[in-house]
Amino acid sequence: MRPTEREVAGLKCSQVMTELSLYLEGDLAPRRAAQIEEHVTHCQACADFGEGFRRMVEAVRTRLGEPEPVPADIAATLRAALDS
Amino acid sequence: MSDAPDEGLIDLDLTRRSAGGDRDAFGALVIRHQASVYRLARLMVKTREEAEDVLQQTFLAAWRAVGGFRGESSTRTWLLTIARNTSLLRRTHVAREPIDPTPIEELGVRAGWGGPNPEELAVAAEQRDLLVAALAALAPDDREILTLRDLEGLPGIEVAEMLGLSLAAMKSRLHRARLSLAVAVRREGSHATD
Repeated sequence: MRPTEREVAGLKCSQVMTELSLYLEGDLAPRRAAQIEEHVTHCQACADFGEGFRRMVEAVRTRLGEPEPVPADIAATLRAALDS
Repeated sequence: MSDAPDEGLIDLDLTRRSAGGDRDAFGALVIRHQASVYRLARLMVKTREEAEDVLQQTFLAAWRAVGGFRGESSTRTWLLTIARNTSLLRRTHVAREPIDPTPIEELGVRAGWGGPNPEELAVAAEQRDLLVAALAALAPDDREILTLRDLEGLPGIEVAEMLGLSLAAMKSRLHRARLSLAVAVRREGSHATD
């Protein structure tokens, strides 16, 4: 079910949801970023989703960022191929 | 100010020495980046054996081409570009998945936007195994951009260039991929509590 669309601080909820990544990356103009911050101050639905989304992105970066080591047998084969 | 060495400068030094024929320097590059290359290969090809092949082909190609590396991108981006292109060559006989036409607002709803349980996305995302499963469930193009941008942390402009996209198009695709991940995280989380 589509959430109720509200307009707060000159932005609709759908606009905030659509621009979340841009906001998190710091890619929005200061005025736009301030509008989003004002919107989420007064819109609990957007504040809740925005926080969950932000924590998910952060979790991906921190929990999955470090790659697992290459299996030893594969690393050994690679070394042999490069040495030949 | 941190005394930690700048990883980019270390890579640049090793790459330059490799370009001069220094095999030990190239070996150091391999050790530094093989895990990232292998991870991308595993996400892009079907089998462990194919990923191993991509890994070897990537570094063999890099050794042959390192003399022409001009440092316009980071060394890691350069290596991952080779790995990506090598992986894609294996997919030419497989029809690419159609671009997901789901409107972004519908994607947001599926991701939990405006839903009754706003905390479940954050709670589910704290579980590493769940994140891994959710990432694995995504379409290949979504996994690819999330790996390059969020897991590898490559600069947006380099990811855009690697994918043949404008910066704006890359950012749009990244956001859709993140929303798709949120959908998958919620789904995996609901399975975990069944």
